[in-house]
Amino acid sequence: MNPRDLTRPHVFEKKGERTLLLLHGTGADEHDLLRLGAAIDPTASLLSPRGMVEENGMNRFFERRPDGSFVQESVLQAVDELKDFLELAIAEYGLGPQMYGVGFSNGANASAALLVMHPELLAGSVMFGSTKPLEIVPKVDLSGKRLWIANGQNDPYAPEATTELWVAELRGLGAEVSWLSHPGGHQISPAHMQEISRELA
Amino acid sequence: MNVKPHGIHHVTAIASDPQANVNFYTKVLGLRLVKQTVNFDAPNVWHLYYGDEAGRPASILTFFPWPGVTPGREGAGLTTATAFSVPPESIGFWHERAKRLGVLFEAPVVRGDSEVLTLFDNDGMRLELIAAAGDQRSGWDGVGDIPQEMAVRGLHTITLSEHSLDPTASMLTEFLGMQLHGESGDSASFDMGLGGAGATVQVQAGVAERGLQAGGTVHHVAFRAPDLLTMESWRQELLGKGVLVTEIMDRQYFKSIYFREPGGVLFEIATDEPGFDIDEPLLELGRKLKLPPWLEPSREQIENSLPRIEV
Repeated sequence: MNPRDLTRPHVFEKKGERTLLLLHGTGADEHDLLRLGAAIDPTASLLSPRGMVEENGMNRFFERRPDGSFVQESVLQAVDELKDFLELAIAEYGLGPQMYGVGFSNGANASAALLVMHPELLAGSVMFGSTKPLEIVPKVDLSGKRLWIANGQNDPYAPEATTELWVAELRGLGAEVSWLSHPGGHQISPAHMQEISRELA
Repeated sequence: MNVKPHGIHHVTAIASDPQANVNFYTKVLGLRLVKQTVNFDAPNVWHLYYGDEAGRPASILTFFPWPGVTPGREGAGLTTATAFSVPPESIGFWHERAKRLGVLFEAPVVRGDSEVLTLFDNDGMRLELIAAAGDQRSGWDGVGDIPQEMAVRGLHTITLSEHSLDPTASMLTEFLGMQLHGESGDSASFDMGLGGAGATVQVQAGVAERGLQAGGTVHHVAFRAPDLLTMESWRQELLGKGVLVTEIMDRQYFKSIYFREPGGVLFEIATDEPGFDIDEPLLELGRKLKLPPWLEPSREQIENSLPRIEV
């Protein structure tokens, strides 16, 4: 299994021109976001790779330390591997030009990092239960990119103060960012799912 | 006035131990466990749905088991009896079964022209089995020691306990299109559509003490809307009459709106569509934990936080 090519475990469901790149959370796998992806855009093709870092038997996209902070080299490596994987997937599956990252938790963080490091790959990103993944953010131009950050107010993995600064930073780079909040914790709100689905339609 | 539910959709109650709940409703009462899912508002709590073989509206009783929950207490402001329809001539079978399986019961009585057996589940919740003629439904034939011809067919009547009759009766007749069927002393019964099994509401008034909604009590009762479009228009109509109705909530197997009747009982209106085979085939209903699309990404976390049950 090579994380950079199509031997990387993944699911591909061919439908329409737009592709949703589905990135799962810790402990999940390439199947866990398929229904969410279909609910958000029933017409979109779905590409769902597995996170290739292992933490106590659980799949993740990049490593974290026991205190919860992200190992930056691991984030950058994950992003680089995903880029290679995506380039091959786009060619092999004949994917159209419009791809949105859709992630939950660790996958959402990976999607944000991918968008920032390789903005040419994604039209935007839907991030549920996420936080700022990179300590150093390059000065990229994110104009035209559409982002949704949807978090629970009581999500310990998505502190509001950090999100507020991160949203401002992304807007400063030119991205259009919708910041959605629900009163719960580390979960996806169905109302947010519906609102994002309407806006993407 | 157009709001006119045509029957009971489901009843939802609070239990304590999930395994004991599964054992009672599948093995003792012989209902089919048609869905294992979670409380969408509190995903570390099971939501278990029991019904007939396809989980049809008017056959469904659902539970939120909260291990260690305080026992509730029947009283005003609660639905205090949930009645099922059983075939005429089957009361003797159910009476014997209750005795044999150690289920708490009250001796069978005759009410109107039907025999009624009252049972209590493992959390003390009051259930009634009403031997009803003319109920064409067939129930679930999946339990070895319950012959098909004795099986529970579906819901029959729900009974609300109230201090006073009139405020509740007004809501039922003027806001929900029900017809007064009969009155006797402190109690009255109401028909939805043609009434009968699955379409009757009984109000028992003159109840002095308020109930305590906790373990072994009904959380809410849902009435049927044929489809989402109809429910949307009913919602507008209820809002226009000053009823505080919630937004339409997606409960996956049906869509719902909620509001309280004047005595405090929580009512729901739920759509007949889409039904329980939206996320698993009819043959497989209730065998695995199912989650809505927005909770599926958290499956591992949810599975680890739910108490184990064996079905």
